[in-house]
Amino acid sequence: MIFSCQPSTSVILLAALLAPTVLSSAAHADGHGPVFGLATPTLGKGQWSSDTALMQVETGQGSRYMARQMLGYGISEDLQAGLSIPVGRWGDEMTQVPRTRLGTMMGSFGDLEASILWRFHRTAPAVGTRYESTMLLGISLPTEKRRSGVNVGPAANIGLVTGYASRTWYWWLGGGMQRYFDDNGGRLGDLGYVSAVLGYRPRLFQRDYPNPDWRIFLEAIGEHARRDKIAGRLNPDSGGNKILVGPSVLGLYGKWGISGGVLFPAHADTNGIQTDEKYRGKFIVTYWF
Amino acid sequence: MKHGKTYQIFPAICAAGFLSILVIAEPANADGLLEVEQTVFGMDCAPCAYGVEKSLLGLPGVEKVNVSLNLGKVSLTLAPQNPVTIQQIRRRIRNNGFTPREAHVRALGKLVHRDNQVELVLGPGSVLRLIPGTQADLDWDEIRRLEPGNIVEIAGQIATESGEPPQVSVITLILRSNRDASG
Repeated sequence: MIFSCQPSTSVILLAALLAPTVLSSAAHADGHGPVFGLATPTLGKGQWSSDTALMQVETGQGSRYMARQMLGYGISEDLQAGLSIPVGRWGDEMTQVPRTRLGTMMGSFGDLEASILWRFHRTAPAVGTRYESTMLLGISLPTEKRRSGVNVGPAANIGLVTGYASRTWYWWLGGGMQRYFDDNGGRLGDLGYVSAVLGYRPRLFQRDYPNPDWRIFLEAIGEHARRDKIAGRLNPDSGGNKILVGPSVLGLYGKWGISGGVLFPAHADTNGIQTDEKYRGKFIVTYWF
Repeated sequence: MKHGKTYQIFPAICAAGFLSILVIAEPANADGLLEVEQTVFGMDCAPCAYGVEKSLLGLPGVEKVNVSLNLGKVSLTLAPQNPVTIQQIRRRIRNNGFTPREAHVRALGKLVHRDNQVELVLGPGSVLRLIPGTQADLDWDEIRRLEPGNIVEIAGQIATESGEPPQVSVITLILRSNRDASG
């Protein structure tokens, strides 16, 4: 086992493979939503939030962990800024990990990410009920020059998500694309992703505020990674398609929130020789200032 | 039940109705909104309630806020002679991303007649326009004959789109004192 805040080969590789979405940090930072999938809520005007996240990916080569600190700020009720900062990673060294990420709503631990969420549609037809749609835009800057032998440049991310929230049921559908820019002939492959989330708050946890508020989710993530480019040539052992499915849970009490979940591969079609992923997990503690 | 007391006030008043204006000879000492029960659409979770609660407690004059997610109600207890307006309350709810709907209010203020309308001045820049509530049995002609400057307490409903100044559909009106000394 290792613990380090410095880039190591496997950490860099994992960072590249987990390269996520800038957008996600902010949307996630308000803690209303699922653990892995895209969600729509934004913070209130002037509201701050903090998310401390611990993530794990388990592959045929062992386990890797990473921690991130995220901050969110509500510029207005429908516009939110977010910053996601890598704070550490540890675990088994991995030399070959399939290109993926731990969640559509969270940044890579190798990237410093800034994001904007714009909730461009919102309607509240009844007590406790909302339909809303949000656009996510972000940029990321790598904290290292190379990941698994691939030059890493800045990345841009765009996503769209629409959904429904109520006191009993939730659902969100979304998707996006992250594009890394060329860096001296090298480039990480583009990453497209879609997510679907179904949420349910059991009657037991529908007691009124300020009682604890718990809900469960079934989350599904689909990812399509294009091949990496090394010295101007495509790497045959990179890229591919994946679908992951799993449960998660979110608990809220006042200004605190905790959430966690695990995703298992339901389908994997990766190019060349790549290590199989067994599962990915995530645990988050949220605080609203 | 934490929220029970506040929620029961307005239905009780509504059910009672008033055949005429009550006159209670006690000095008024607290102009302003006394209680507000604001309906809110779109709040689904604890952080929603926390954000609204914290935001409203930041208004000077707000002493207590109770949020019910299941009922979609935000109830405010206000300090005497507070400067809080219904517009401020609704703006803060909107700033949290939610939709304010109708509100039930109880308020104390000075009666004035303006442009053939009856208004209640709660404080500097805070005015409510009084209109007959559909479920009330008030003698509106009698209300119109009240001298400007009288201190009255009203309870009623402010619609979602309430206009400027906000219109209150009055359900009860109580004359607290005859003609303000300065009026």
